[in-house]
Amino acid sequence: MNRPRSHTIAAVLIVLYSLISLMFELPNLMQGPGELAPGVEGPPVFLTIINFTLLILGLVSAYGVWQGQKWGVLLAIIVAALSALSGIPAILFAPFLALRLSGVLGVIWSAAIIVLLLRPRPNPITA
Amino acid sequence: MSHTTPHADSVAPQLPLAPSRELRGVSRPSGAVLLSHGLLYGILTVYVSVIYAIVVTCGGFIYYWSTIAPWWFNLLTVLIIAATVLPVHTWLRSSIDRLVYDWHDNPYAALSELRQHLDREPDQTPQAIVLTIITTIAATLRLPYVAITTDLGFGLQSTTYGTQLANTERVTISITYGSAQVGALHTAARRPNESLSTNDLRLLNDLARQVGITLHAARLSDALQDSRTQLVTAREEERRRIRRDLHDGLGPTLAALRLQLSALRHTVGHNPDATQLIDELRADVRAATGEIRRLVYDLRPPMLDEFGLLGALRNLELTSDGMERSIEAPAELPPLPAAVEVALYRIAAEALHNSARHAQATRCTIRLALNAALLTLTVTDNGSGLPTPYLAGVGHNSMHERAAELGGSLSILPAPTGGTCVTATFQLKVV
Repeated sequence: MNRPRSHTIAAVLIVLYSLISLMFELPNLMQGPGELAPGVEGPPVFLTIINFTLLILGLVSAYGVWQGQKWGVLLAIIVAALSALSGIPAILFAPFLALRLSGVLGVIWSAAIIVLLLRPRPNPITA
Repeated sequence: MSHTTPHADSVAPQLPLAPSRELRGVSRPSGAVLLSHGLLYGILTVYVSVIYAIVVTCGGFIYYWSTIAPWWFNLLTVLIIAATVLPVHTWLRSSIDRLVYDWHDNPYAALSELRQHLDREPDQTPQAIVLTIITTIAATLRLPYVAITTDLGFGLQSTTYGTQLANTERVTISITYGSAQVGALHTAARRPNESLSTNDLRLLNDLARQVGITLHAARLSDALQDSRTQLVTAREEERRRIRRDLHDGLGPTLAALRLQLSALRHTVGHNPDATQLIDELRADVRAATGEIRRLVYDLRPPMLDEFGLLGALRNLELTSDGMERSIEAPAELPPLPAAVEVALYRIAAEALHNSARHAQATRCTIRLALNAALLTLTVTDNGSGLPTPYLAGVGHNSMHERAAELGGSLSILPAPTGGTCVTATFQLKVV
């Protein structure tokens, strides 16, 4: 398989991120809009649906990256960029510090995935 | 990842060029441009937004959860973005271009990549240059199979990277320099039942032109080195012949002349004028004999003819001063040209001299190894090592020159166990 090590690491990160996020998003999706705490509204439904879609697309893109496919890499970069974008409202407006920090962590995670996927492939001469 | 498998095939005398696919100019695909620009500016937008969000949120934290950060945090955000956006843009652009286009639309970058790989090791052999070229082309275009057929002085050779996949069309591109054909570049599609795109072929043609120049230069360089080696070899063979003639011809003749002069001195008896003249003649003959002996020694170390290379090296071991020395060498060596014998002997002598005089070494090892096509001489000592900063002197330059003029190489490096290690390597094809 002609896959650089950075892509392997990126695929693992994407799967981990998607699975961990799914554990939090699935209850939100099943229960609909609710309250995070008494008197504190949860995220809007459309944001939950967008996040859920991105996570599914992330898993698909991880498969493509793992297979060494160019479409997988492109899709993973797009999904990571959109995930980072969707984390901005959490950083700015989340009512709890933990939620804000999780937003920052998601952005860093996405940035790491993009950097790993855009790293130049090692040349066989020097590898 | 495919591993490099260079091999030499015997091929037909005519370079297999046909059939090549005809190329026509094709405009850049708009989809790739849109994708590249979309990704670039999309990610940049996200980058700017994220920086803004994080810095402003930090400002809010500092001011006790205030939802509005102080004004100077906005200024700080602008400064951070202004300072970082250009490097991020540059890196993103090159990375995304590499990903989206795979160099197709950036032949200059692909050529630059090839040049950088070649520049990294400027003294490569033509075979190594061909290997660098095909591995670079395979890496930059993500091609599973690339081969170059060319004449590098041993007849037509094919150097191959990777293997051609089944059900792929093989494409051959002529490598030319001026009007002369210097080789052929073979490649194939990346996946079964696919063919290379016109952009691939256009880039390969651009690369082939540069490869033609490089191969031509490599062949010229190789021919020049061969000529130099032949000159040096012929010179040393001629020296050996002259030395033999002087030693076996003129030397005994002068010795005989001196004996005859001694006999003549007895014959003339008590004639003082004649005796004085004969004595002067005998002194002249003695001086001429000494001069001939000096010439013979300078032409070629006499020990090489008397004991052979191994014997001469062992003798060198005995005559060198004060160090504990050892020699490791095969029991027997194939016949070597005079030039190589002299070069090995002189390099070993110079290295020993340096170890004793400059490095104050107490122990030295001379190794002579014959491995496949390589003859390697290694002289390792336990002395003080190379000076810092290291500046090659006359002796080191002389050793380098002796190796280079026979197409060999010489390295003077710190030994792993301390001290200095001098390694001279000669290709057996030269030998």
